[in-house]
Amino acid sequence: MKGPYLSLKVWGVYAVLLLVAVPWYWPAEDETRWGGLPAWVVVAIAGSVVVSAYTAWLLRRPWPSEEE
Amino acid sequence: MKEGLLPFGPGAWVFIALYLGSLLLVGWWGYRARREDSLKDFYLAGSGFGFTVLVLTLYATQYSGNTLFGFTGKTYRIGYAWTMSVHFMTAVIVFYLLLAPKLQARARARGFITPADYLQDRFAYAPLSVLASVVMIVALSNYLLAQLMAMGRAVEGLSASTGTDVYIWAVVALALIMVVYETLGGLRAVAWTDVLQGVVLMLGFAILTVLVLVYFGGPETSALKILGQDGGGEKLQPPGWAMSREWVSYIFVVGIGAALYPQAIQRLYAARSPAVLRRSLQVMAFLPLTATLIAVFIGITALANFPGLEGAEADRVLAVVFRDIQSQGSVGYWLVVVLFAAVLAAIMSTADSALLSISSMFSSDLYRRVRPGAGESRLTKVGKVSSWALIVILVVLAIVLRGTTLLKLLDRKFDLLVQLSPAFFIGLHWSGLRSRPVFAGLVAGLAISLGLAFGVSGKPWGIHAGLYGLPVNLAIAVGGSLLGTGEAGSAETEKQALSG
Repeated sequence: MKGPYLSLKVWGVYAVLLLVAVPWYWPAEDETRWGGLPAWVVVAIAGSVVVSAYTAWLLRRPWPSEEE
Repeated sequence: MKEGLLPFGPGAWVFIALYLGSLLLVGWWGYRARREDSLKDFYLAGSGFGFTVLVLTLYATQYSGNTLFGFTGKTYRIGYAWTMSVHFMTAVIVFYLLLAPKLQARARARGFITPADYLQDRFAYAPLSVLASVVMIVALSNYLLAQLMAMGRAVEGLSASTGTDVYIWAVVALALIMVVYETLGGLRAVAWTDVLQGVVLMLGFAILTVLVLVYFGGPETSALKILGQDGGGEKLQPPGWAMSREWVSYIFVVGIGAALYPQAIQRLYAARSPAVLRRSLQVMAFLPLTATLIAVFIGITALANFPGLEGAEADRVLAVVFRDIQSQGSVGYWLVVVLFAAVLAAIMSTADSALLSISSMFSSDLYRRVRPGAGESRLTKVGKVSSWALIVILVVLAIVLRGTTLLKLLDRKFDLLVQLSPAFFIGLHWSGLRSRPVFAGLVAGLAISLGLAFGVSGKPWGIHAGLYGLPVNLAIAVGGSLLGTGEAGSAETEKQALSG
């Protein structure tokens, strides 16, 4: 089985980002707001931005089919 | 068109009419640009698209009436917890990493038109290819129906009258325009109109953000108003365990399901080169931040300023926001006219792609099996006729089912599409995956998902029904392939194809 993104490292990073970006760990009673947004929303959005940036970074390398 | 039907003046109607007319004109250009009467030319635009067209057609196709109306409505109902929509739309691009490089290379080498062409090439098992096509057609028809209903609600929401006639008029007229340019120019017309619609949609999201900030204030103003409402605090709370399960469920079911949208797969096929597709996906990875995140922001602002709407009324909350902006002077009025065009762009660009994709699957995957001798010209004609027949049926359904909320329709199609993931995600990378276990897994996955969704609940324990069917589906497909000894030779042929 092989492919440009088939590595444990790549999907391990996504698993960690998923754990951070889904705020399951945030205390329900916390009412902190940053810039008017609940703090947990800011963290969740930041997590999503990192996922986007990591994906774009992975996509910087040409695919095997581009070399044909 | 009845005078005074909508609170738009003649100037605004001329603008909207010009916009809709320009879509027909682009359809005509698409027709003029055709090179041959073939399925590849009609459904994949011949030699394919470059970077700009591909990004805008992917964007306009992916962000739809559901994003604008369904997502603002859902945020209105559940609050900031719908931030999950940013995650699941990003997840679609993440799952493309497993799909796009190999599938596109294979499609280019073998000349695929539909997703089932890959399945036929990879597994050479007719029952699997046909069942997969039927699943995709049913899922996509469901999606197209949701878009048609969104068209009706968009116009109805801006209407001064609450009569049924506005909804019906809007669904019929806009569906007619769409099917005309779609059958004229095929994917060329659909993707070129997507460019226009994608630009209008991006502009619309940008204008909407600024307008909402100016007229209603920022997140802090909204938060204070929501906290002042009965039970408003809940809408600002973090998701907790139960809702977090639902987040993860959405991330997987939409991430995998939307990556397997037939119209999206056909856009992978229609990329001019692998480099064009790869660069387009790099940009797409960030676009949820410019669409779904804004829909969440608008939904929260609507909740703060227009509380008390429920059910299908909540799905129309964006129109309530529009009307309020419109009533605040001529600048607001004209910007809402542009926003209205953006709403139509969002809905029509998604609906036309779904319609074209269904017609290609009907013609190339199903009709061709019944009439194997049919030529390319005949198949293209059958595809066009099927578009018209389907749109008539769905327009009638959109009128009959107008009380259903958009999100209910959205959820079911992903339960179906995720069941195709073993054949695509594993089949592309593992030569040992065999056709009969994949077929058996698909049947079991569909039975469990649909049985749960319609017999128990759409999301038992907060997890989509499709994700209960998927592990069983996977176990049968992979386990059966490891244990099975049949289909001698196919694995060896496949190994050669994969390494090529």
